[in-house]
Formats: sequence, structure tokens, C-alpha cells
Amino acid sequence: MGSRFCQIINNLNDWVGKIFGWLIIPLMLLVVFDVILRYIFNRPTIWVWDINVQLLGTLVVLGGGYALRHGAHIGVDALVGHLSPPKRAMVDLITSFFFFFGVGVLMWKATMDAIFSVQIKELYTSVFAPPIYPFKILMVLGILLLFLQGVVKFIQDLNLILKKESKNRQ
Amino acid sequence: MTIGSITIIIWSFLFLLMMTGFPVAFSMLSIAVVGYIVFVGPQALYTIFPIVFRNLTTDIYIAIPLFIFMAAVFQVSGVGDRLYETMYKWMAGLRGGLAIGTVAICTVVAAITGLGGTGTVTMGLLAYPEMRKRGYEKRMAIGCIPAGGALGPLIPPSIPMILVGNLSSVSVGKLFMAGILPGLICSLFFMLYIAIRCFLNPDLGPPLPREERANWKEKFISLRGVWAPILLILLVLGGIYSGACTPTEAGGIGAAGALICAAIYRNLNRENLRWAVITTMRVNAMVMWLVIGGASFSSLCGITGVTNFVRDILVGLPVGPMGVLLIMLLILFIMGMFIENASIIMICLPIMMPTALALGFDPLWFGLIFTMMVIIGMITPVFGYNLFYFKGLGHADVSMMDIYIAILPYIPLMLAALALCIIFPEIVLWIPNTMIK
Repeated sequence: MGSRFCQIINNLNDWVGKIFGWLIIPLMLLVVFDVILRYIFNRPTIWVWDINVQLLGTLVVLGGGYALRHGAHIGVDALVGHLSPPKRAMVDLITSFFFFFGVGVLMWKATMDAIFSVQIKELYTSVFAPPIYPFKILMVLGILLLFLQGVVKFIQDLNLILKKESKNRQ
Repeated sequence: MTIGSITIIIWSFLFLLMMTGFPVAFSMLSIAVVGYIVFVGPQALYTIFPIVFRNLTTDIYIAIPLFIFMAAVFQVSGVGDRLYETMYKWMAGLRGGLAIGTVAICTVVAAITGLGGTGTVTMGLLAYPEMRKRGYEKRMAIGCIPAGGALGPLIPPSIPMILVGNLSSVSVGKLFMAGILPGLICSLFFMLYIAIRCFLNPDLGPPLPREERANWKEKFISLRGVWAPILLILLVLGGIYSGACTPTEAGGIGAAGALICAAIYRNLNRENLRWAVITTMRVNAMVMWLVIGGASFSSLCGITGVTNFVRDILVGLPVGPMGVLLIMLLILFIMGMFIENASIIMICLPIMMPTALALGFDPLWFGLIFTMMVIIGMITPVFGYNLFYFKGLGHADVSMMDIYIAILPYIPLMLAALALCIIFPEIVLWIPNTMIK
């Protein structure tokens, strides 16, 4: 059930993780570049850190779904670690409502903020003051990817339980 | 509703949700959202997104992906292999020498990277099979590796310290420096323990037969292997200590330095770089989503008055400041058995730091003591991250129970070092107080 959807989202998050992960390289180069300018040319920049914080934010929001896809968001397994896969899936199915609610509210609030930001063409509060609304749109997309990956997990857990039940009935 | 019952409801729901194996980051985020709606009112939800946004655009957090990237590059750079060769030539002739040397290398790796996994994985792959081949007793060969790995986040740079520093408004640079001596003391304790046990019973770690040992010429030639780590340590720690750069900048410079070392050792191929990049993406997202969840949760605790309530209870306990400190450390120790370290920081520090301040403790000192206790949680069974890292290497002769038993002696050793830091705060404060800036 929904396997086509799961496949698309899995691939999408893998693709996003693999492409946008490379942003760590420009982040590193900008940091080094700024230090060199400051010490060797005595000309610190005002814009490097405004870019850097956006690179950090991009890495985090776009990495959220990727990390969920690969089970990297750690939980406490002491109690449920020994459950059989279908039982574990049942537990995860119940707690997933917390995920959808928490991340859903965050996505809703981020969307409201992004819409407002686009309307007023918001600038970042710094000396350089770059436009910040493209980054806020990106944040909404990142949280959406995380949410969709949660839906995939939900469908997979559901399938696991249904498969078990149909096997029991045979 | 009284503040007492709100506190109980919020915290028991958080722990209940966490115990189901639901990711800690999302447990905290969703409890925060639900808590805001129930206890503050739905209109207060507008505060959630600005909290997330502010945390994602914090300068000092840029250091987190940079240091993770540096550690990942280091892991594939081949620097560890060269270091191991040097150590082998110098130490293999001693009783327990390979285990002592493994701790020594972990100490050096700890001064380059800020995660517990780097030392554990690097040495777990290199040192463990070699020690077994040379007749080391299994538990002697296992224990020193996850224990040595735990030095990683204690000796700067350190990802947990970045979290602790930013959450409690303590200078991350100073916190880094505060970790140096306690880390070295732990390292020394580990080495002494191994040396004494192997001296008393050479069967635990037999020395290499005389004819197989390296001669002095070979030993000195092998010292070529140590330039790269020394350079990286000077770049990162030297830069921070001298005040030449912030911890974030040191992360960038260190990552670039690690890439250059990898290139010189001809390990900077596309596959290694791709692995380092995607590992950074995953680990950074894990840590930073914990930051997001933790920040939302602690803002709920702040706005409902839970933070102040718990702080006042802890401060009011009739056991004196030291008694309260020990109670907090005990709580951290128990949590460390079940919960991953960055999660413990995000859950506990927002309440424990105000408590420590109210008791009149130095925030830098308490920050370090707190971090140290959380790091001990990396090697305590049942859930110690370093133990799982070691198990994950897939050595066929190692069971989880072997690791649990092998690590046991190292826990009291670290606790003893922690006790020293509590009794003599100068151990913690001396280096940061001599910093130039």
C-alpha cells in the first residue's frame, strides 16, 4: 500500500541529502576565507556570517528528513529494543501522532512566517541585511520533507502490521 | 492548576513518550507544542517558530557541522593509521603497551575531534584485531577503546561543550580549555590502570617478543607519522587558546586542515569525501534537531514556571550545595545509562544550570562537571553510545556482554577524575584563567 509514494519520498530525501550535504564545503571555505581576510588583509567582511547562518539552517532543515529516512534521530531503546518488528511498528504507529502534531504545527507556523516574510520582503537583522525570505521558504520545504518522511514511516509501519495480521488469518 | 501538577504532567509525559523509543528530538518538540496549547493557550504557539529560527541561525552552532565534518574527514584521512604505526613501534615491547598506546592515540584524536565515535571507530578497527593477534586478553583489548573514545568530547574540541556553552551562556572557548586537564587526568588514569594490571599479570597484555620489536632507528623514522595530528591540534586548540579565532572559526580551519592532511596521505578521493559529507549531513541534523526540540521544550518549561519551580525545590533541599550537586550528578549518571548524551544535555541543563547558579557555583566549573558526567554516560551500560559504536564494527568474537564487562573498570576511573575536579576546582579553571582573551 502506498509503496509508490514511499519510494518517491525516500528517493527525494536521499537526493536532497546527497546534494545539499555538499553545502558543508562552501560553509567551511567561507569561514576560512573570513579569517584569512581578517588577518592577512585586515579586511573583515560583514556578509560572510549572514550567509553562514543560512547555510547552517539549510543543512539542518534539509537534513531532518534525510536523517529520519536513515533512522538517525535517536530514541531511547531500553524498553522497546527487544520487541518484535510488528509490535515495535505498533508502538511507533501510536507515537507517530505526536510526530505529525509537533512537526505539523511547526510547519504551519513556519509557513505563516514565510508568507509574512515574502509579503514584506523581509531583510535579515544585521549590518549587511540580506533578504531572508528565500531562506524562510526553504525552511518550510525542509520541514515538509521531514513531515513526508514521517508519513512514509507511518505507511511502512502500517504495512508491517497488516501483513502480520493477514498472515495470522491464513 | 498548580505549578506542581503542571511540572509532573509535563515531565512524566516527556519521559513516557521517550520510553516508547520515539526520537528524543521529536518527543521534546511535540510535548512543547501540546504543552503550549494546554497550559499557555493556542495563541502562544506563535513563539515556537522564532525559537527554532533563532537556534538555526546561532553563530556558535555553525561549529557543530564543521567539527563533525572535521572528525569525518579525519576518520578517512589515514592520519590515524600513521599514528598507530608510530605508537606500535614505540609501545609494543611493553606489557600492555598496545592498550596503553591505544589510549594515548585516543587522547591525541580527542584533541582533534569532538565526538566519542571517532576514536572508538578508528581504534576499534585498527587496534583491536592487532591486540587480539598479539595475545591480549579479550576484555583488556576491548575496554580501552570505548573508554579512550570517551575522551573525544572531553578533550576539546567538543560537540557536547558547544551545546552546554551556548545553553548556559558560558564561553565555549573557555569551556573547551577547561576540559583539557580533566581529560588528560582521565587518560592518565586509564593508562595507569592498564599498566598496573598488565604488569601484575603479563598474560593480559603480553609484550612483543624481543626479535619482533622495532629498533631505535625505526622508532625515530616512524615519528614522521605525528606531524599531521600536531599540526591539526596547533591549528584548532592553539587558535582558540590564543584568542586568534573563535571556536566556530577554529572548526572551519580544522576541517580545512583535515582535508589537506587527507590529500597529502592520498586518501582524499571522491568516495571518502562523499562519505564524510553525507555523514556530516546526517549527524549534524540529528544533533541540531535535538537542539530545536530541546529549545522548544525548555521555553515551555520557562514560560509555565516549571524551570523556576524545580530549581527552587532543588535549591531548597536540606542537604547543602554539595549535596544538591551530588543529587544532580546522580540523576545524570542514571539517565546516562539509558539516554544518549546530547539528549541529556538538552533535557537537563536548562534546569540544572539555573540551580547551580542559585547555589553559587561557578558556571564554567559547573558546565565542565556537568559535561563530564554526561560523557561518562557514553560508556555506561545499558545504553552507552561508544559501546554501540564498538559493537557496530562487527568483530565476530565480541558480544555486547563482553563490552559491558570490559568497560566496567573504566567507569570508576572516570568518576574518580570527576571527583578530583569537584574537590580541586583549579584543575578545571586553571587553563581557562590563563587564556589571553
